[in-house]
Amino acid sequence: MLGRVGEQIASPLDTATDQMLADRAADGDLRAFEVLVRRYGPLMRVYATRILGSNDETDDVVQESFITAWQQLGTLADGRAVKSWLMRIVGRRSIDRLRARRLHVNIDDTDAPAPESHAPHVLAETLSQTEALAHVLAALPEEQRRCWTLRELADYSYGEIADELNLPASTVRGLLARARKTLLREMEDWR
Amino acid sequence: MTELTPADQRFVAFDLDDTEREQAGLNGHTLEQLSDYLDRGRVPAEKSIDDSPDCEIALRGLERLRRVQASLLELDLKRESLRDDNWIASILDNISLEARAGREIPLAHPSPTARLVITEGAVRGILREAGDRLENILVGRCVLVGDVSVPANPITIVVDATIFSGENIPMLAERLRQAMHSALGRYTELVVAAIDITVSDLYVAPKASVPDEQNR
Amino acid sequence: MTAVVPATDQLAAVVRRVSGVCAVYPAGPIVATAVNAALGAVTQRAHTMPTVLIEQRADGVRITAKIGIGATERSGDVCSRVHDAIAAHLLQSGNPPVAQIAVIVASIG
Repeated sequence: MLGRVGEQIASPLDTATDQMLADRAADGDLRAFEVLVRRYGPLMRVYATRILGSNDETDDVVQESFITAWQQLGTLADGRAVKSWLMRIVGRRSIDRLRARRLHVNIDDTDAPAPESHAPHVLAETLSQTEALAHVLAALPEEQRRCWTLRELADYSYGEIADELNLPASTVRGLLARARKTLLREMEDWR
Repeated sequence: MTELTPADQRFVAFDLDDTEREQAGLNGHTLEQLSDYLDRGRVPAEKSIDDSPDCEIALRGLERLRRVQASLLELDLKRESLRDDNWIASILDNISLEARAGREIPLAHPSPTARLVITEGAVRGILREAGDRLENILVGRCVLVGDVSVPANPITIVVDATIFSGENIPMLAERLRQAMHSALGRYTELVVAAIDITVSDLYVAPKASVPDEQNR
Repeated sequence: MTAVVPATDQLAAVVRRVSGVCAVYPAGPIVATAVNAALGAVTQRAHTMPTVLIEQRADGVRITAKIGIGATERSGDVCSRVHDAIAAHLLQSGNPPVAQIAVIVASIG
């Protein structure tokens, strides 16, 4: 009723700064909000999919995140930070999903490392390195992948990852180190 | 965990479990340290890293990982951008102006049981609209300062605007002020003492939008 | 209950017919809280909300209509017309005691 996707006419808003868009959206401007959704929605979708390990729930998580963002935009003090603010919201929602999912699944199952993946060795011949990396990332144990994603896609510090995931900083450090080594080793194998 | 092939021996740092072996293979460093070193742009220079061929191999591996990771992200983003717009429509359909409605601003009516109001959100909307009708100016935040709920109470309006570079700022600001005054007169009964316009930024001519690099 | 109170759909239709009105939005605080609670199951909610809010109170009926108006209209004029149309409709449909008729302009253009 209130929102219709605007026709794709070039508008000065399309190239407006994040701050301008965040300010206008905080004032209730749906068009400015739509530009933000278009600008950062794809990155948020990639991010949520990586954290969740599949795209089954990406639609829901990203939609909820934007609805939350719309409601809380007034609390964002600096509009220039809207991108990292959005990433934080979607990251948190994705992690919440994982926790909820885990209530239904045996904890040991989800925390167990994924079976040592030999797929990349085979795939390397047919897929580009890029695709192969996607497979290795997907095959990482859940906690490693989550830490890696927060670090690499959302620029979280070690401390922030620890806070977000409720883990000791030393554990985060260890998980990231393992993820890094696994990725490096797999890449070395593709050569 | 990992069977060591000859290739792996060339680069023992891939050993997942043994930090000592890792350090032995990297001139006393760990991969984590090398990764942090890269993050810092390799400054200040550390001789024990720069002079070690083993570290150099590892650094190259890390850089390659970053490159591949960046191109994976680019690929994923491209894929996401090619999706149809249904997901955007669904988001916009599910958000409510309610959340951004703000205060209620009264409109007069003779009946004692009538309560006619316009929301602050709607007023900000017409202020933006007034600006958007002008060329070469974009209106950002609009704040209604003062108690808008009291009829005839004078209020001030504070506006941030961005102007196309090269434009005459005082002239455009004056035009915007007039457009806003006339819109407020049409849609509200507010007594506006002043409209303060701050030109906060110079807006650069639009180019093709590159989403991820928009953020300064 | 003696007074006959019209249904929300009828009132919404009355409001929609008023010249200058281009949208009728769901009104009322009850709705807003329900929405927040339902975050997470967010789909379809626009279609299940009552539009014009009708509350029966001790001092009479309270009507709240939330509208969008056309950009060429004066909001005071449209609000008055909506108010008067609601008042006239109430008068015709049993003339219940009226505590308040609220008209909220939520969007313009």
